[in-house]
Amino acid sequence: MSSNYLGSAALAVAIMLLPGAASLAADTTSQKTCAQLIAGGTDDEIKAAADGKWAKSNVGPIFRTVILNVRAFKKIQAQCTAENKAAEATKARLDIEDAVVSDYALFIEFMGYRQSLSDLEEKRFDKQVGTDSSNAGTTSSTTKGTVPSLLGFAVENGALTRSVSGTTITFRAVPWDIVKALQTHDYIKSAPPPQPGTLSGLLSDISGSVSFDTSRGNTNNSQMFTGDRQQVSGYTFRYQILNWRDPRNIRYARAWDELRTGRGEALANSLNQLANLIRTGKSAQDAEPADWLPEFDAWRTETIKRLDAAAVDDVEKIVTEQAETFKQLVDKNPELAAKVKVVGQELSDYFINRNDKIKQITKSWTVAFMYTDTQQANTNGNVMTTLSVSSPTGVVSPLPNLSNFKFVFNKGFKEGPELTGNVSVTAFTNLPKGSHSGNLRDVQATGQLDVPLPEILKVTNMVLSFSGQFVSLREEPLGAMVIINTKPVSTKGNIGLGQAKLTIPVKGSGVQIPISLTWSNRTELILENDVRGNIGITFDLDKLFAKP
Amino acid sequence: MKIVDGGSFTVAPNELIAVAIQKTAAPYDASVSDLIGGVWSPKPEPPINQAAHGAFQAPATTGNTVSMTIDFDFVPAADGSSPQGDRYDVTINGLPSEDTRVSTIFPPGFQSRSYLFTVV
Repeated sequence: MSSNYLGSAALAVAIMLLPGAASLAADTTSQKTCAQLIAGGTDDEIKAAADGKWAKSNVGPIFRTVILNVRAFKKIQAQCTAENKAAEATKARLDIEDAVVSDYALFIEFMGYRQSLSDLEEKRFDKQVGTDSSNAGTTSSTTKGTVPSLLGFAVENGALTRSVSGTTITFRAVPWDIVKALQTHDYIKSAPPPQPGTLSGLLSDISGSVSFDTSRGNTNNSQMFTGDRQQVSGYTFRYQILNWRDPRNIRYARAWDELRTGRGEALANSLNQLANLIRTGKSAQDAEPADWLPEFDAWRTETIKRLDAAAVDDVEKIVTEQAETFKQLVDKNPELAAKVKVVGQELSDYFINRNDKIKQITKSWTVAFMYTDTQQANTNGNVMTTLSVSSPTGVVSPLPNLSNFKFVFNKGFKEGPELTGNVSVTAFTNLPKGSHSGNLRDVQATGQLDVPLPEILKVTNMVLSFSGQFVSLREEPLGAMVIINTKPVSTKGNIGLGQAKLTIPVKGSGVQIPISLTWSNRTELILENDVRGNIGITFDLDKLFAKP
Repeated sequence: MKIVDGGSFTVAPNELIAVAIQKTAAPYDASVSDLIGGVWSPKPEPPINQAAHGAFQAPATTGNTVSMTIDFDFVPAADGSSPQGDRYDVTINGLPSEDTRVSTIFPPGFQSRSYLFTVV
């Protein structure tokens, strides 16, 4: 597998599936009007940060959100001024000031009085980004329950049930998201999660994918991805029967309301007491303002002055410097520092409670039905028309295609492990000439346990997976006895398979590196037992595009 | 009420200040503090259709202050994203009306705003 090939293939398919997708990487804010910038909010800045155009500081999520807001307001202010929309420009200027000097949570986080948030998306490992487990080229023996909302792109080398390793590229998308993305040419606008019971909710529960085997259609083993019909190795259709893993689902409204009126109000009261103290220099029992009040007033005036004069790309630096000055002012007054620390603890409590809720929600049940059409072919480089089964009687027929019907179950556990189960049946879509085989090829059951490992040096969250698969072959694997490597292949019966896999995410890149070890009591095309190790690289574009 | 800067206002003695919080997409997740130096009447709570309305009366004495803080949280979708156009708008105006401040908070994540009203 070559990495430069991966990059070109990703770009080619993004353009193929999403006309205008090339603009995803472009900075389009300069062409937008004042009204469009106001409507877009922080969307452009989120994309720019994901593209690495800014966001050098790694203070925490509140800090990053504030910078996102201030950068967005800065652009709104500039464009509205250019369009002589004075009211909008003035409002944006006030919003810039407000976002920094009126958000004391920002400074508490900057001072380190809050536990850092773990990145929710980075820790999710229940999304099947690669090809389905029934296709060639997968390092997964078990199909997962949910899919990325826009486009899952993966190239994985190796095979579980074939003896010749192949390279498979899979594209999977939710049609509802693609429709919206095509309308807007903007990925972020495809993000709103439709609610259950609505048409958009129904459409968003449907997804499909197409897989390409790049070992096909090439005569020189180049594994060039051409994207033509010869390389299509399968299609899938998936319907999400049950998915309670969206924290914004209306079924969780009460839980969020409890957080808001409980810890949320307590935190607001604590922040208000701190803000009142810093702005007036007095607590409830004080008659006179504290000596340090003029210093904070001067800091506030200076911060506003610097923000008003700042260029967009200087915002992050200025906020960091002013936060550092704020920290120094607080540290000079032990009594004030102690109060900041107390509010910091409440901020931590709020976020711990919030994250627990999200973690609990994202461990809920999911159930999906999946149909897979596998376009079978050998991987020796011949084109589709020459693929065939040569039976001992000399009858030559194309390889039979397969239809797989599968139910996928997922359930997470609070401490982190995730259990996935699959039950499926596979039928021959067509049979070789002269075959007396029945239509039911196999019945399969699969289980997989994903165990997230402790973070290593705050660098990456690896996941260790154990899986097992049982296959009851009811008919000959190819619909008729065939001769391969001079040996007849017609064995029916049971196949057992076990797999251990270590998935290493490359933090912040959307890239995952799975390393797997698979054991099987038999393979379909080789008579002896086979132990095989697989290494692949998986891209999750959601993480790249959606990361704020 | 007059706007001094993003989070500061001057108000007249006994002036009635109205506060409205509107979120564009569910869930609404803004928490409003008690007032320091004043009393909500009513407090902007509970939200109805992602909007909450409240009011308070400014103190009668010049130099006195009222402070309030609102926390704004954006609950993420399963993939960590927020809907397009999601935002909080906080509208603050006095009676008799002079300035009206509409403060906007964009996603993602958590932010807070503390506002100080000084009687002049």
